[in-house]
Amino acid sequence: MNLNRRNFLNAAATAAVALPFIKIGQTSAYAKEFHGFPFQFTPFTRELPIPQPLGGTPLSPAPGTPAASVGSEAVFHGIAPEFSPSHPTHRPDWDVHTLKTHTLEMRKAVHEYVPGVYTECFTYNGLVPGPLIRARFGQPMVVRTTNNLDVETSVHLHGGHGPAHSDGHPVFYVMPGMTRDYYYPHIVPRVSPGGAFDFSESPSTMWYHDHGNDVTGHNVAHGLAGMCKFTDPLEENLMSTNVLPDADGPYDVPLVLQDQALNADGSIFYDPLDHDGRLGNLFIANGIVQPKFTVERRKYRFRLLDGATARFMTLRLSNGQPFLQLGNDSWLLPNAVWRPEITLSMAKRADVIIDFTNAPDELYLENIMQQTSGRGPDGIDRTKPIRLVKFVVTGTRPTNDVTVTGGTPLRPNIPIRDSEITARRSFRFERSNGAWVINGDFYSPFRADAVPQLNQAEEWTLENKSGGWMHPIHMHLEAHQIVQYTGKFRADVWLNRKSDTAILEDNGKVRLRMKFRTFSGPFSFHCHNNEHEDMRMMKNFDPRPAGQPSVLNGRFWNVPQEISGIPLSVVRRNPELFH
Amino acid sequence: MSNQISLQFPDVTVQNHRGETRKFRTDYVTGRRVLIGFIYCQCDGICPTTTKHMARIHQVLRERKLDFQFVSITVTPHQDTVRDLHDYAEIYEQHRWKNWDFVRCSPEDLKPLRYALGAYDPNPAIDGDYRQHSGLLTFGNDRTNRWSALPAGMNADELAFTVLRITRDAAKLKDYLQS
Repeated sequence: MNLNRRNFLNAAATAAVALPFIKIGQTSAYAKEFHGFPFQFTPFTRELPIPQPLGGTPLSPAPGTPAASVGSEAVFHGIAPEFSPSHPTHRPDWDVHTLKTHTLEMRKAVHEYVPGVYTECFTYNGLVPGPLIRARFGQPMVVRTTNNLDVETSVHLHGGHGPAHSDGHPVFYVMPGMTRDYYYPHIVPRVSPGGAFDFSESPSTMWYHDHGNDVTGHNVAHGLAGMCKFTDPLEENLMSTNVLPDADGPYDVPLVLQDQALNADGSIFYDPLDHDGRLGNLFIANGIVQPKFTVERRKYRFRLLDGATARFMTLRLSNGQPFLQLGNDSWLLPNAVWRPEITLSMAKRADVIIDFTNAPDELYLENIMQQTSGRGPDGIDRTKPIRLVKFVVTGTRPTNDVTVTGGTPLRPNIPIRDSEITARRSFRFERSNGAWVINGDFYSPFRADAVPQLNQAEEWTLENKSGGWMHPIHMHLEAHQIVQYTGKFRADVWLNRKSDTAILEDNGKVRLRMKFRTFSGPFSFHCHNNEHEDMRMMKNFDPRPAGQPSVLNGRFWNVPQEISGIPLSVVRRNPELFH
Repeated sequence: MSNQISLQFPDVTVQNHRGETRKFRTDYVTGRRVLIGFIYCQCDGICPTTTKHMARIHQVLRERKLDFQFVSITVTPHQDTVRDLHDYAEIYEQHRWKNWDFVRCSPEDLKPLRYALGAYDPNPAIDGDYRQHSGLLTFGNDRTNRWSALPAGMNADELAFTVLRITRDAAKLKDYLQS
């Protein structure tokens, strides 16, 4: 039986009385076919919501005090030891600005993805997507994060350079009912140990999302994701000289693109036993299905994120005008570059300018990547665009529009040279009896799969031998630089530039270089198809000074509680909770 | 609750290694903590590991005095008889547990059951070859509606602890520690 999309939607509508619903035993392109109830709605009627910055909140007890340390009543999971100014890693030049403090609560809240359809989501502070985190270089931040859900969570700042305690390691949980102080120093790596900060490494567009062991797909699909804007003096200078729009103004817009699948009653459809990768039939931008965005006739910066759990996207504008790409993943490119189409995998970002100056009164942001299976996309079909956002262009041209254009210098990129490479490693990603192995191993949260020497550079080769599957591999802690890419996607903006997520195509291969600076781990790298990640397609690395062993040596109770944030007395008594 | 995961499991009739007839969802899943694996009696690939690791998990859960159900489903019901399943269970010395059934269903029911439990491969050539069958353990707690699956070949103690975490009744840490 050949199921085209319309037939499938009709079939799903007919059968939607029994939910969740899986048509079983039919011959079709994919194994589990219910991708969401086909709601009827008029698209492009609701205005695009813009995530607003998380406001500051004083914290009591103060972070880092005994009343807020590991095991305490107020902050059970404590704070990273690097928060202390006396910690050897913490240098006086970290704290350029005074500490900013925030609270973040993970809780259930009702959200309206589809007009008139009320969906209970997992939220940060009641919002889908979560509030915008506004970060500045040298302004330390503590986010006091409480989990009022019934499931373990772990918050990962994707693209961040921070301590292991606050990196969202899969088992460094925020347990239900408990609180963790996430400490983000908002610094960048140094040119050399003890040397100056390397501002070529300053991020611009990060995002945060759940990373809990075995539940990442579930938690992200239920709503746990948000954006983070970061500026440093270099980028602030681009803004104050009118090259780029002000990060805090109306012309710099985070745009979280996701798919979603709902049951007929509006509840989120998530099948935890669909291990291919979850696809949905609703196309969501900043938390609502197919919105419109009324814009002025000028240049806007959009920080595009593919925040789906398993869907690839190739983005274009309906009138054929190109994007001006400013950044890839977390980092600005050396120069702005015109791109007619941009392909994103899950977790990848494209920072772009869309110039509405000469645009028609109406145009659409479209996805032309077709995908019917969680295994990976089917390919680009330019005759079947999926409209994601409608832009309604109003007003007259401004006299003081930003000046960025093709070739404008943005952020220098310093290639990692051959002579800097001190170690080479290879990782083979393969399928094994319905699960995933990397170099033949299943993931253990307590095993260090690589212990790079701190402050050295390495070259890693990632190879996908899994036959028919695609895997975007995300490396925590630092940018990597892709020096060789084997695959079909256009790779020129990735090659020799900074990325944090490298796409491993079917039978693809990526050779990348990465430095491991400032922080010892553990950190992880993993497939960002969240369902593959939850099937433990993941490994740990733990940068250490030469000769120092990793804290991961097979037993959780050997990880110091200051690093894990899990009190050792509880780990020893109830180890089952932290696996 | 409309998204009760167990409702996707077909309530097919199965025979266990004691020759008894059971309804899969009604007798093994509804309202319970359950772990399901896939084997076949002639398997010399993943099955011995799957069964040994299930035995270890069974022991850990037993020691906790928890109510739970284990089910090992043969992927070759066309050739594995009740007697074969009993012999298989006996080899691993797991035939005596009332809450661990080694079962066969009708060959027609097997595919829907496998798919619902996440034990399939989207590549038809792999999915149709029982020698390459899924090496996943699927487990959950129908009371909390929380389900997951992990590779049976993982470290057995880590598997057991993960099963305990995911299938626990009390979600909140304080409630769990007091229970």
